[in-house]
Amino acid sequence: MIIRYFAMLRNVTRQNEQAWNAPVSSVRELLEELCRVYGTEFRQWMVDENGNLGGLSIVLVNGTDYRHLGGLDAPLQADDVVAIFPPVAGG
Amino acid sequence: MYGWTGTILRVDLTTGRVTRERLHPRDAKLFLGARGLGARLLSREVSPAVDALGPDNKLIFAPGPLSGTFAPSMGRYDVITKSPLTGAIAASNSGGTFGPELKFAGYDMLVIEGRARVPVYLWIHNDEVEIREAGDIWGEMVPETTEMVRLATDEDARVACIGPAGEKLSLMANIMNDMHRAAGRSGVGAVMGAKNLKAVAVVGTKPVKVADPEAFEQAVLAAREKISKHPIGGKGLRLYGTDVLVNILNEIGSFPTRNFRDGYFAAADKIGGESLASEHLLRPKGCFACTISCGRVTKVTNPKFAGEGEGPEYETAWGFGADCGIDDLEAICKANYLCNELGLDTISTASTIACAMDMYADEIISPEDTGGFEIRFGDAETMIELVRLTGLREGFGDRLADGSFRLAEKFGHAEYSMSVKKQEIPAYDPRGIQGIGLQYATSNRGGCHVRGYTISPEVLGVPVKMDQRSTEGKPEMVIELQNLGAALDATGACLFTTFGIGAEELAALLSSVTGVKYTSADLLKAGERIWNLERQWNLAVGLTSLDDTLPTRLLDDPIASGPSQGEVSRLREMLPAYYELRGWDAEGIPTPAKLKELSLA
Repeated sequence: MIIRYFAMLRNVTRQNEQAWNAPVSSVRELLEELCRVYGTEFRQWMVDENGNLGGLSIVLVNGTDYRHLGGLDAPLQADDVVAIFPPVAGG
Repeated sequence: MYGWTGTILRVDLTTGRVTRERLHPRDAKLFLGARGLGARLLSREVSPAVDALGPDNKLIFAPGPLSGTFAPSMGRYDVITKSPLTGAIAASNSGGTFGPELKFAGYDMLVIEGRARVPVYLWIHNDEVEIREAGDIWGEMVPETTEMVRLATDEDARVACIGPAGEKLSLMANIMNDMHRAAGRSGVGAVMGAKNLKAVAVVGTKPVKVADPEAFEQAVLAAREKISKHPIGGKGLRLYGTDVLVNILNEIGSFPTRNFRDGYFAAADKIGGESLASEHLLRPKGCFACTISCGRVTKVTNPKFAGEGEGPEYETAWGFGADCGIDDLEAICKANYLCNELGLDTISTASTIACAMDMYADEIISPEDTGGFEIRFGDAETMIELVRLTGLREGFGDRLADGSFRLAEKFGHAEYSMSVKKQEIPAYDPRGIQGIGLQYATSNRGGCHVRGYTISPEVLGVPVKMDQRSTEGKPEMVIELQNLGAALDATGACLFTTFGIGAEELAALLSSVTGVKYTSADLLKAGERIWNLERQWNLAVGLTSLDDTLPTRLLDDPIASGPSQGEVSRLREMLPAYYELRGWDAEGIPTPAKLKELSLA
């Protein structure tokens, strides 16, 4: 699996992209694992004020928002590309 | 009056007559200010049949009732006029400090009428208003113009002006204020140029009176806290600016590339907000009373594209980047600086050059037509030269200066223009994001994203996530955002405050400032009223439901690659429901009952 990081997450993880080989079966598992690996700096962008995982960020699985793939339970495969954005925007 | 100054300043450039009149309280209550009051005045006083570049068109500068107060990020103003680009009503919105200064000088609206015999500029110092000759400034770029006018008036004067593009009546000319902020769209700078008006300089020293200072203070603190605590309004926009959208839109496959031939640009990361922040950002910058600071003060040191200024915003990085097939961020910055100096709208200018590149690639135009230029996708140096020529109307730039629709139509292929109502559409591919396509098609000023920013729910998930590839619920959502956007513009608030607050907080601010009680429903109703008034104007101009459409490429040609490969806009499914929900008939005409409900009958 390839994980792409953007904006503040590049500073937190010190990389733009990483190959992820550890087994994770869902978006929830992946985000929890990344919060564990990268700590509170990563976690602050992944958990909203109500404690909901993924509530703040945009997580795309092969270009589709996980919220349209079953939410946090959206399944992940070994050849997926996951893009993770902290809460940023423009106009 | 509170919030409003209660005074409209009128300057007739033909006769030199300066007059003042009272703002009618009922108009203020119903249409709020800025875009709303401007539309009201234009529709009352200017025939829809008027020549946009003739002396009978009027050019209105209008801040909102919140402009000039401490309400956070709410110091904006609008320029309202008949657009020479679209023929529709233009309301171009800008930040900086110019709008608040007009309020401090004592005016809710500045109405420019007629046409000066020779180039002039206007000097407003509170009650003193002077029309001065501008022969020595005519021809100057925006930074030089601003400095020269300040030197001749007051070093602290806030200046709005046109560059050479406005003087030469480019239909993509903007009005620049505070040197770097733009009332960008719909060619409002050409209207100013047609009036022989080079600049407006303002110094004001009067307060904006607040009806209930205690309630206002509470409302300001509450709004400021909500915006500051919101991860986007409080941090994201300041750190990366709007250009951070590049990677988001590209990753979902809705990043228009090479004049919308595709929706995915492999080199997107090189032109995104992350690259801008790490390579060229000097500091973020905010407008009057802004707590967000999305502005980018940037610098390029590479001699080839050296320059310094503000930007690029997301739309600009997209336009001179992916849409032209260019992945050189320094070249994009340079094109942005040039547009600001020449007084050109970056979205329309970039899209028009992309249109020329597209026609060149398909051999519709050749070097014989372009004055010898080979206009190829990806050629950064040619792109920059074309920006310069466009702003000066030199060579092939004379053709480009009238926008992509007139350019493509001239060569018999209007379908190459990615525009709605002849105004270029911005940086979100409506084939991959269904709601924004409906917004583009129904926008009262032609191709535009900020009239109803559906990207918030459809892509960013603010306030809730909607599936961007579905049409379900989109007509309702587009209408709600269009009405809210009209109300926001009319108060003087920045669209980005919605990354933190909504209609309820805005109503509390407006009520405490003006002393007129507004609920959030009242505010949305005012937005709907403004929207329908603009629609009425456009219908009177001669636009019809046939103009509520998208380029055929976006309706019929699927996205070629990337995550949204195979998608097309399903506008035709959504438009009838949109009309019905708006209370319009099948031809998109507001019904008498709807007009009566909105006090427009």
